[in-house]
Amino acid sequence: MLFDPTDDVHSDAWWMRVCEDALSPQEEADWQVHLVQCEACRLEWVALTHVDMLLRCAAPPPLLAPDFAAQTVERIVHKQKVRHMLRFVIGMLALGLVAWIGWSYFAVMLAGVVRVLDVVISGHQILFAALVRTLGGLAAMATALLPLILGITGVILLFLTPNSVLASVAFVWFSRHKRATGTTL
Amino acid sequence: MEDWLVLAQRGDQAAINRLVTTYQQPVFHLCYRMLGESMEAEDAAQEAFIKAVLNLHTFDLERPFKPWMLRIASNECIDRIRRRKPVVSLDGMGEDGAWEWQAGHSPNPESEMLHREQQVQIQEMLESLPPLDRTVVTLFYWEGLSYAEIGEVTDLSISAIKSRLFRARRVMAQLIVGSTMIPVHQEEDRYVV
Repeated sequence: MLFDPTDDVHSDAWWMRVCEDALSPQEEADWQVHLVQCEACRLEWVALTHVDMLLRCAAPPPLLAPDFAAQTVERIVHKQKVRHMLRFVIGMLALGLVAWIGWSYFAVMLAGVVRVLDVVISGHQILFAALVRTLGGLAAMATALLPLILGITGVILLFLTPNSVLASVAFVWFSRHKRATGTTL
Repeated sequence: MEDWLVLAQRGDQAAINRLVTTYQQPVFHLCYRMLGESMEAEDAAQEAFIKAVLNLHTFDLERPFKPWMLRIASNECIDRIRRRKPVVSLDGMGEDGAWEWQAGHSPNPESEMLHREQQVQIQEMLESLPPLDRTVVTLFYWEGLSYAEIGEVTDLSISAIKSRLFRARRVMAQLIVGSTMIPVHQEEDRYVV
């Protein structure tokens, strides 16, 4: 047979059943016998019964103030008004904040668009000016380099083109050298 | 559900007034047993009603109103208990701690004195309990709520309520017995949830 804790007269489970008047007639009889034999349980049972009696027979609380309900309703109405006022103020503040953020954002965005357009237009102007300056610079450079170019061209012509002076001199020198060494061209 | 509760939810002042007058006694009684002092109990009861009305839109009209109202009052009292030092508060105590005689309508001063002593003893016993146990005891003995209704107020299971009630009775019994220096059989403390 398994041990049932509710059968142990010293267990909390048993005592709870006693307090709730949930004992069977046989258990009640056993319990009364036990109380006679066990002083600790008897004393505790007396104390618990006394507590129960004390609580059940307690004097009622003092009377409420006659204007309790009126005062309470007045406080409730006041709190409701304060709450509505707070909600209104917070709502207006939130609306103002959203409007301010929205306007600021819109203004910033508009200013940004204007700036971009300005940059694009002025960028074109700058590019055009830069192009003109670059071409001018190239022209100036070409003017400065012209004598050098002409000189180099002249030298090349002098050395390489047919009937040039150096070519002729070179040709004559080679011919005489060959004759002197006895070889023919 | 009561029509006037629906009106109270919509902010009808007459309905709110009816709500307060209907439940002021049980709410005040609970606060008085929890706090032990009538002025503070009145203030706590008023705060509980204010919180209830301002949050009435969250109340489910299909459920009983009394446990919901008492739950708010109980939580308010528990918060006040936790904020203050655990001292025994007694009605009629003077600033120097001397008991002040209050003239009553009773022709028998001895029974008045006996009643007073019993009140003191009851309050001492209640002050020895944790706030939640105090709520359970108050609701069981003085509000006449069933275990299920107590469970709705305290958010405890029925077995937990029975266990807490028994434990609270045992603590109070030990307080009484301890004052008379008689040993009591003690079981290992454990909760049944």
